[in-house]
Amino acid sequence: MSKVRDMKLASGLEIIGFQSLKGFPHLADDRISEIRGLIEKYGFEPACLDANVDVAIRRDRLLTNEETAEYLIPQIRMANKLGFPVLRVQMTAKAEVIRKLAPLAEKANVKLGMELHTPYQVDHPAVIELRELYEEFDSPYLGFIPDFGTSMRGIPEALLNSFREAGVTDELIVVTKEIWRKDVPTPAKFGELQERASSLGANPAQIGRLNMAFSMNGRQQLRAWEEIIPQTVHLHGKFYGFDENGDEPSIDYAAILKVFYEGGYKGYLASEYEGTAFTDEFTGFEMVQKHQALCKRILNELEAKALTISDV
Amino acid sequence: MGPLDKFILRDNALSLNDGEIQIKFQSHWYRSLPLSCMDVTVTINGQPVDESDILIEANGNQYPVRQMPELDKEWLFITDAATLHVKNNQFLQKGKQYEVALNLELYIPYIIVGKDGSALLASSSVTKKLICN
Repeated sequence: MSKVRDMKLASGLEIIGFQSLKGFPHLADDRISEIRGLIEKYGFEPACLDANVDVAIRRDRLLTNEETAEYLIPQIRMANKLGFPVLRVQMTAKAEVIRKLAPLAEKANVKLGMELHTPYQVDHPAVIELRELYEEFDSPYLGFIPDFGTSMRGIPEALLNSFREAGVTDELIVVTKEIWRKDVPTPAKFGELQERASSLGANPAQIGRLNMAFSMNGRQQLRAWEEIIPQTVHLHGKFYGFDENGDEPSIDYAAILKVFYEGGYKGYLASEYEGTAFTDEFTGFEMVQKHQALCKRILNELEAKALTISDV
Repeated sequence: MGPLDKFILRDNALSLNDGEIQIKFQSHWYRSLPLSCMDVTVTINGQPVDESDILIEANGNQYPVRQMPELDKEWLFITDAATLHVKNNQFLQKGKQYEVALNLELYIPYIIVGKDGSALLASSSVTKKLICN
């Protein structure tokens, strides 16, 4: 936090509970005070706390809806205690789980932001079910967190390089790219990859690695985000790397930001650098700096254009 | 496999204490996971260590590694190491160098990939020559 402030990178704070806070979501009062004290000391505004919905935490079976709700209750309470207005939740919480948790979220004054991470496009059947639930509740405490990785224009080069380092052949990378471009649901892609990669001699660890091409990089049409902008409570500005012009080759930032800007979104945009999963060539700090420069450039252009139009 | 693999076995990971081999390892995922989401196997100088000879320690608590799938309440925080306690059947000696290979399989509990509800497998294997401390 100290370094982010020194570099003047941001004033809004998002943290992953299970990453930054040992013992999360059960923290003693003195630790809660310590964390709140640090947030205050460095002058951050808490933007979003990230929960995890670990339905496969047991190895013998998945958690039931009831157990999943129980797993999330202390995480909602901790968001409130730490002063975060939004709690990121994940699609492993089914609509029925959100139904159970909605009253507590309202009571705790914490918005549940369902992360729409690929494969969960706005028209995915499970998302449609959730949108129906949101319509029924019509509550400001139930919202979405679109992740830009859901609407990408290519598989990041850093990820492809990591496949090569894992011993994946160029032939299999071509197959993976070909399957990625198909207009079929993600589970079908996992299935096809499993079959074709096995017959090409890939081992389970390599196939697990290749699955990330589909689990991390979605192909939703950008304009589809428009449907849920009124319910958007936070944004995950995912990015992997930049070209020599400062653009993100795998994500069309100019087009995505235009959709959210023109759709009237007013909240935070998180800088979520995920290249660390594949390479340590760059620091998160320098990449966030580049990400913010890119976003500011685009938003300034959109703002200037909007002013020109309103002058007319 | 990824950049965080370098943290799995650090240079001081191997030691001998009270006649028992100890191997410290860290996870390569970006957030903490409980032991129920991990499988670990280890070889020393190419010799696989029998699973029934290994205890795993996290947060000061020890369990047979076989029990790991049941340990969904024992978390390994990302900056903490777990320690494998192994009977010294191979007669390791302090000050000597050994090749340790550790395979860590993480079952990511919030990313379901299989039709059967199975979790994403994030697997890493690290082989390192380590001086036994």
